[in-house]
Order: sequence, then structure tokens, then C-alpha cells
Amino acid sequence: MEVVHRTASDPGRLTRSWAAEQIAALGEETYTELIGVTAIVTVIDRFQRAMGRPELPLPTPAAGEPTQVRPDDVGDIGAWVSQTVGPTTANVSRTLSLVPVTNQAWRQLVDTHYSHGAEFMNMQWDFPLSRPQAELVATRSTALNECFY
Amino acid sequence: MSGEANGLHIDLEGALDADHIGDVGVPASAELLAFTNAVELGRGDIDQTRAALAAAIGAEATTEAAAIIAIFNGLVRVADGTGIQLDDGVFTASITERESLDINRFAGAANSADLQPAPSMPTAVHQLFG
Repeated sequence: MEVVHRTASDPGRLTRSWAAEQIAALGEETYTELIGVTAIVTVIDRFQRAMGRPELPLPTPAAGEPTQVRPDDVGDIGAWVSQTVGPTTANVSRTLSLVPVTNQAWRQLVDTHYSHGAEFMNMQWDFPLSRPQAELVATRSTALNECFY
Repeated sequence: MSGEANGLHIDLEGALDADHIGDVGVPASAELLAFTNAVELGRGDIDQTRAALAAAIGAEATTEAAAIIAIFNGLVRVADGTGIQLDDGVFTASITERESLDINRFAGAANSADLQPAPSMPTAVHQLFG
């Protein structure tokens, strides 16, 4: 509850020492998955709010066991949790790489909402919202959330 | 970066200033910023600012703006929740801007405190989501 609450309510003030406490209690895989699930639910809730729609109910938990998969290619890259090492994408694109299933869901959400696959390399988007307009919204949103990255 | 590519001169300080709702060099700036502030801060009525934005740029673009506000609320949480550092190239390329725009005051700056300027990729936003 502490991880979900702090991450959902005040992410700009999370600290390494706080995270270390949570990771010691939960394990870094569980901690990372909690961050990912909280982020995904926050995105859905915030979109509903922005569009003037009611919050969606949480889905019914599915039966089965967690995959418990820890990738072989993760390690210390200077973040609070292990992430993909070696030649790879930027840090923001490997935040949840420790938990592949959550990471896949997260990356798909980012692609749908923002990055648009290979189109992200194009500075002049052929979408209703222009690239500069999209980046203006992103800039203001991240500033209000006090996100350094 | 996309501002330059699109022939625009962007007022970054205005874009980052939560109290500024006005033109920052991007079409429909005022409506975009008012809508973002309403969703994020509750400053202004969300329905009214969304309607004003839709009148300025259309319903589809407004839905995209809502989607981007939403996803960046997730991105800040995975970035700050996992304590990632700035990428080396971004750290180097943004030294002046981070100081002039007072971004170093954010708590997450501590995660990159031990980085040193170094020329490496990525250096631009479009390289971050590959």
C-alpha cells in the first residue's frame, strides 16, 4: 500500500532511501511490478478524468500463477532496481524491464498514447495533434509532476 | 527539438511555468496549457477547457492531448519510482537548460548527481522510446 500510495500521489518526492526500504521488504521484482501497475492504472484513470468520463472499475483478477520470470540480462545501471544492461534503449524505455509481462503492457500503452512506433522518429507528425503540440502538453505535464527525467 | 523542425520558436520557460496560460510559440498553446493545468491541478474546469481546446484544434486532437497527459502521468511514475538516471547524452546536452529552467530543484535530480558530462547517445527526445 505504501508503494502504491506514494507512487500514485506524489512521485516527484520519492527518494532512493525510501525505495530501498520498500525493496528490502518486498523484493525488487515485486516493487518494480507495483510501480508498473500503479503507473498503468494512473494512466487509465487520468485519461478518463481528462475526457470527463467516470473511472473504470478494476478488472476481476484472473486465475493462475505469476510468471516469476527474471530476465538474464538485467543488472545495476544506476537506477534503484535492476534493469536491462548493455547496448539498449534509453533509460526511460527500460524502467520496468525487470518484470517482462508488466513491461510489455507498459510499453504497449506508451506506444498507443504517445510514441506511435517508428513514427516517433519523425519530428513532423501526420496526426491531428502536431509534434510540437504533443511535446508542449508533455512538457507541462511532467513539470507539474516535478519529474526530473 | 520538434519546434525547430517545424519552424517554431518555443518559449520553454513559459511552457514550464505552471502559472502561465498563453502563447509559447505553439499553435493553440493557451488552450493546450489550460487543459493540461485543469487535468493536473484542478485549475479551471476540465470540461470547459476541453471544450475550448476542441474548438481550437478539433475533437481528435483533443483526445490525443488527453492521451498524452495521461501517459506522462505514467511515465513520471515509472521514471521516479525506479530512480532512473538521465541518459549520458541527455545529461550533457541539457546542462544549460536544466540550470536556467530550475529543473535541478526536482528531487529526482539526486539520481543523476554522480553523472559526468559525456558525449554519447541519445541526445534527443525522439531517441528515448526506441
